[in-house]
Amino acid sequence: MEYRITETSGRSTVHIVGMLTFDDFSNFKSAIGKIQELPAAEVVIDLSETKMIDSAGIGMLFLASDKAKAAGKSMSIRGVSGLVEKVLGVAKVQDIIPVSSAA
Amino acid sequence: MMEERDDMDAQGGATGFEPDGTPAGLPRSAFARLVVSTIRTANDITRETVEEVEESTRALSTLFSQLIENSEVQTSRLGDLVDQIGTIKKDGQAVDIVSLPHILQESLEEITERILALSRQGVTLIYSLDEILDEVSELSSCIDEIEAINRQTRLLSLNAQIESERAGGNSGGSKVISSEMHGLSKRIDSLAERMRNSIGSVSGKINVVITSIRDEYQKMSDIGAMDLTKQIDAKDHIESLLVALVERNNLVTEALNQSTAMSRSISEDINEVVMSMQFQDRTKQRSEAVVMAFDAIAEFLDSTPAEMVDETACDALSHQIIDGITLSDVRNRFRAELLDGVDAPDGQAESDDSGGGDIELF
Repeated sequence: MEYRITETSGRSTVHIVGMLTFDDFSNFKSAIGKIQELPAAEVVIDLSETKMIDSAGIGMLFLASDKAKAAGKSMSIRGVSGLVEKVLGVAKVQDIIPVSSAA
Repeated sequence: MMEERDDMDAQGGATGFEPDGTPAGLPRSAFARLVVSTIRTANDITRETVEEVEESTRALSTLFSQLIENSEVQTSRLGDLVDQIGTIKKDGQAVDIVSLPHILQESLEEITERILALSRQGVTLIYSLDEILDEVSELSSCIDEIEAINRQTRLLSLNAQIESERAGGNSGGSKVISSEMHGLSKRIDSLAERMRNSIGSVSGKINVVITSIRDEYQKMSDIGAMDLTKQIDAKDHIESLLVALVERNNLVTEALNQSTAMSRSISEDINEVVMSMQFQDRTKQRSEAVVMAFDAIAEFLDSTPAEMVDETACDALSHQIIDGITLSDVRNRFRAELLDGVDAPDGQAESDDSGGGDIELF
């Protein structure tokens, strides 16, 4: 997994590229650290370039949401499609974190 | 013989009656015998036919009654089948088949939720442990700095002691201070050693926990337990199964309902046939009436041919015939013909069955 962060006024977007599985934990932990330091109050996790996500990846998204909230930020997920969208649906992520599909 | 007949003919021609009282010119013995034989033979044949028809139709009625009964049993069984086909028994309770996929789906969702809960807890735990390790690492750095400070302090103390020795004179106080500082430095060294050992132990244990969790995650990953695509496939399969089950249920129910309707229709048709075949009883009574009338006439001709011309005797015969008929409409018709429409005696109703004794049943 790789990630990059883009910023617009009031919003920071974390683009997750590749797969988000348990093996990517260390990398994602680094992203969480960055999220907490970002100046914007709104954080968006963009999964449009994410090919695959497993249950550990779902757990990491929930963890990121908890850390964002603790830092006084709101977090949402966007750009889901295909298998990633189905996995998030089965895991009912939308019940806890706002999710929007790819445009 | 011929002379006797000629004489009799001659005598009858004169009085209008034969010696035995029969009207002259009537067909006597030969004709009467012929008529009687014909009538009786016809009656026998008619009687046998009637019996045969009655027997056959009784058999057919019985058969149809059985068919009705069997058809009703089939209808009832089909009804039970329609009720049973959509349900199964589980722990003594009836469960709708259509609800089975929902039950499976709920179980699947429950398992998925537990996997996700475990994943979330595991990830959070590892994150927290990593943070603790970071703090422990910071603590270790602090100890390093303490040790560095301690070494410098010891050096300063040693320098102070050397300077004190060199200066001579009032060096007692300096010696004491130096000695105290040395002792303090040793204690700090010892404390630092203990802290380092403790930190090492904590770090080691935390790393064991982290390694254990990572190993478990790796095992789960190896068996695909982390991969939720299987749950997705299962969910899709279950949804397809649900659609197929509902469709099958509808088709089977429709087919069974049509079969039930057909069975009911067959029962109704057969019932109608049975009702219409009750004509046989009516036919029997009609035929019996005719047979009885002929029997009466034959008996009359045979036993009292002389009374053929006796009006009273013929009237009595008419009443005998009428009274012996069980079917009211036949009786009324005979009455109309034989008595020229005279009402029944004592104002009896036309539908009265007092003459025959049998009740008209169709």
